[in-house]
Amino acid sequence: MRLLVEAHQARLAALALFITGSADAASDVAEETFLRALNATIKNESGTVRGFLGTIAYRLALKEAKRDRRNVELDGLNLVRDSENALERILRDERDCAVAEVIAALDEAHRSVLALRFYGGFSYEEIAVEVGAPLGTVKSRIFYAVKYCRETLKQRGVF
Amino acid sequence: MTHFTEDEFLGYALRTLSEEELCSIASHLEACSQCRLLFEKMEDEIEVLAGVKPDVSSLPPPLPRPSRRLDGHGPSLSSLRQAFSHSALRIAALIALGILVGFGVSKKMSREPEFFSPAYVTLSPPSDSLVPYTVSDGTSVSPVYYEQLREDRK
Repeated sequence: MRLLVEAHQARLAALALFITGSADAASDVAEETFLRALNATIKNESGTVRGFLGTIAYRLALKEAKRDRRNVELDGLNLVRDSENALERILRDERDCAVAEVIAALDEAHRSVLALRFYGGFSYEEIAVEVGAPLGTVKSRIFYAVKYCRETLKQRGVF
Repeated sequence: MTHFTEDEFLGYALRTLSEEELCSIASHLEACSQCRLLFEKMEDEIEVLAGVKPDVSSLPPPLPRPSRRLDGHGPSLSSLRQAFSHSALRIAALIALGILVGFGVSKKMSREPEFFSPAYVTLSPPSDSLVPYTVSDGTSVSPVYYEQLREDRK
């Protein structure tokens, strides 16, 4: 368990951070993922641990994101969304912060695909199933997401 | 030698191109050192995009679970699965044993059917005082009883 946490916690937290946009939700999701994994029934015996944990984290993060959206809709009650300072709270490295900011600026469809591919350990086929989009669309989204991020980071002098 | 565009290299790095395109770019990269440098830089950038690491110290550790092992670590996925399969085997063995025992007991028991003679109940006739009130069947009423009912209504 300890080895699993060491190997995957940061990556799962990053995945959750990009899906939810919240540092608190990201750490909650990363924590909950391991607990769910212990009680989960493994259906796909040939899958990887990375993909298995990534799937749990992604689904938990989606739930959190939906809940967060509902909270934002209740803005009249002055509920504060913490996405503004989320990155600084959870990321110590300056370059990581800059990269995460650019990824966070992508629209949801592109950001999800990028996060699932790079942080969830999903194949393109698995992403297509998970997000319910054709394989070609998934490939196109990852291509344009990476292209946008590279160009933006070049303009900012990160690359 | 015709060089490939940056977009084509990006597609190659992300493996979003067709097999044919991937093969032609791979063979070009083997031959062209200039493009190889460009491609390696691109790969490094993609690695940075995929390598954002939240500070682990800012993340809470997963909640401790009651440990079954003496070394203090929680049960691993494989040990949980093993425990589950063992208990499933035990349950299956118990069911099989139950079926075997039941089958053996039923074999030992006599197979001859046992007949019980029905007990007939003989009803005694009603006493004389009750005869006027006795109804022959469900549809007719004794005239005496009928008269009595009419008088009661009055």
